Amino acid sequence: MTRWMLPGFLTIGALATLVLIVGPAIYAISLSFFDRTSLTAEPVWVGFDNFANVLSSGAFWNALWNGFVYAGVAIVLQVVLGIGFALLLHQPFRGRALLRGVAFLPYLLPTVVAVLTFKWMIDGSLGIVTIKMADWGLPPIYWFETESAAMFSVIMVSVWLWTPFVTTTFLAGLQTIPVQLYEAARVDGAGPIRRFFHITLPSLRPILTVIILLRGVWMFNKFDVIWLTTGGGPLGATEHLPVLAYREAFRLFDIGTGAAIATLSFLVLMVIVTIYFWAFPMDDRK
Amino acid sequence: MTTVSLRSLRKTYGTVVAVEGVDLEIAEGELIVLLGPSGCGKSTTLRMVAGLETTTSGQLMIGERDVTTLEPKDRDIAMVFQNYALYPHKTIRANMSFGLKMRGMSAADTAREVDRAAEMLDIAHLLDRKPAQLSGGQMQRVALGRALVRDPAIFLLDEPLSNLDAKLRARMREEIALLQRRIGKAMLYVTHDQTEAMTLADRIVIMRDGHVQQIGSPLEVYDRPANAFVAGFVGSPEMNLVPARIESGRIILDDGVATPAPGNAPTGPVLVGIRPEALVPSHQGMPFVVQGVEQLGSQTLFIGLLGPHRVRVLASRINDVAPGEAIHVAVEPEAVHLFDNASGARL
Ligand SMILES: Nc1ncnc2c1ncn2[C@@H]1O[C@H](COP(=O)(O)OP(=O)(O)OP(=O)(O)O)[C@@H](O)[C@H]1O
Ligand SMILES: [Mg+2]
Repeated sequence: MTRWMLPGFLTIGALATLVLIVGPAIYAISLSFFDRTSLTAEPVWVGFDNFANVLSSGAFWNALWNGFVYAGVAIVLQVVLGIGFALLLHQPFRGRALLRGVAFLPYLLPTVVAVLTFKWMIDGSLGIVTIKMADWGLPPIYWFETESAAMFSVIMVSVWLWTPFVTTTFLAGLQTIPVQLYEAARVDGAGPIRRFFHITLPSLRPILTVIILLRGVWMFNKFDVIWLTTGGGPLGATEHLPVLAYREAFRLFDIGTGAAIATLSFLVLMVIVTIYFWAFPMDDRK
Repeated sequence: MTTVSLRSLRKTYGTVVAVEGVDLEIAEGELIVLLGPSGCGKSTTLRMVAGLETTTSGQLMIGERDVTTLEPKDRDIAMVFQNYALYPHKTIRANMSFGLKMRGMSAADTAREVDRAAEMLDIAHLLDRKPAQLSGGQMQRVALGRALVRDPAIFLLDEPLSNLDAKLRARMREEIALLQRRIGKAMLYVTHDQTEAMTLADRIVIMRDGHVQQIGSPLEVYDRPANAFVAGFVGSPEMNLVPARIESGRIILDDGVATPAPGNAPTGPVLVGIRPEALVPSHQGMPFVVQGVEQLGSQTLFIGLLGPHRVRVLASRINDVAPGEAIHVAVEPEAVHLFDNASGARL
């Protein structure tokens, strides 16, 4: 019996991967070589035409750049704030357990609910933020409607939503660092800042590496926040590759172009992830 | 000359009293061992000296300075932790350099000091490795080295050998003793292992439930234990402690089992302490029924009954006594320790 178990499980795993992951991926990529106006229409082979069109369009490069800005800034803020909050919540104080729970709440909210709440709070005429700002004599800000503010706003919403995840992960990491290391460092004469850079940060490094990778990829592909707040606007100011691909495929009914954008986005990510793995090997025991 | 003095050092955690008023003067170059069972407050005392634990009351002087409220780094101490606490991401050299660097020593001086200490501890070939690439014994040496480079007024060691196997522990013990003599600095060494205490210490401080029981040289503590607890804790195998009464110059363990009492022994009930090696198999003396025999090589340990009490007898090698046999054991009156029946204090 056991003799067949390993090959058996391997076969099942390989088949599942083929059917559930490789298959759809190949199908999606293959779509980008055809011209097709809907999923039921007859596809027409066009070779690399879709890619040529996409690469020569300003919208693609704009979306790629926006994607980098959105993912990059959001991830940096999430990590910096996440470590900061984790350090705070790691200190012993009364009510710590409660605060740890509260701090995790945003992560439990469905994105739609969070986004609607934000929109409601900053509504141009009725939002609490708008009214408060008016009370203090500040000019109104059209958070999602002006080009200059929109990117800032979608990043803020994302940071608010997902910093708790980072905080919680780092908090778990902090708890694994032996107290004796900090005591040794105190005896050695290192103050709080040096203890952070010489003990805390190096100890969190493996977590940091994974978090930046996962959060980065996730933010780069994140669709719902932008779609629900600005829809990529105003004038493409917050349009990144997922929104652009979606708009091409399902709003302009150009499935081939949408698939080509998605394929390119996938390639870009693959290159970045490869470089990342090479620059920050997961195994740092050397 | 005194380097460190602990004056009524006391530590409580809420209602728990961890350390109750420790008084101790440590002379320059003296090796003091804090000895006691688990939870008696040894680590807490050491950590108060280190500054890793605040003192509830009392005073700590290092040199001429009152350091009671100072940070560890300002106390002129170095510490070796039980689990070594080496910085896992730093090389051995960086581990040993860290404290010097934090104190602003130049790179050249730091390198020289580290090399010197590494030479002394025979770890020079390990300097470029990370802690994870070392064996337990090597990590132990590095932890010692990290303390050594600092040249402090006093070294503090919390059960530094407890993670090593028996052989290595014995060897490191010797090395620490030699090293300490060589550098001539004071050392406060915590252990629950009485062998370590006996072999290393200039003076032993024996603690129990946060209270100091006795302070003295290893032989003082062994020969004249201040109370029944110390008597039972120091020495291996353990001292036999049995209740008895004293009547007309004789110690009566039980009807029919008696032995001459030391001079000036008070009449009445007492606790009698006799070391296993003080009980000598002989033709006359107290009847002893052998229950178990442990051959240790050069010596033989008998476990058996002396009257109603189970005791141990450590004799030089005897081959021909088997469990079940009845023999006799005798003890010199001077080798008998007498303790108060109620308080356990030495009489
Ligand atoms: N942070 C703390 N909070 C409450 N009680 C504590 C704390 N630290 C130590 N204690 C108590 O203080 C007493 C002394 O502890 P300590 O660590 O000094 O013992 P020890 O002699 O070093 O024992 P061991 O040989 O097991 O290390 C113990 O009863 C312990 O439970
Ligand atoms: Mg301890």
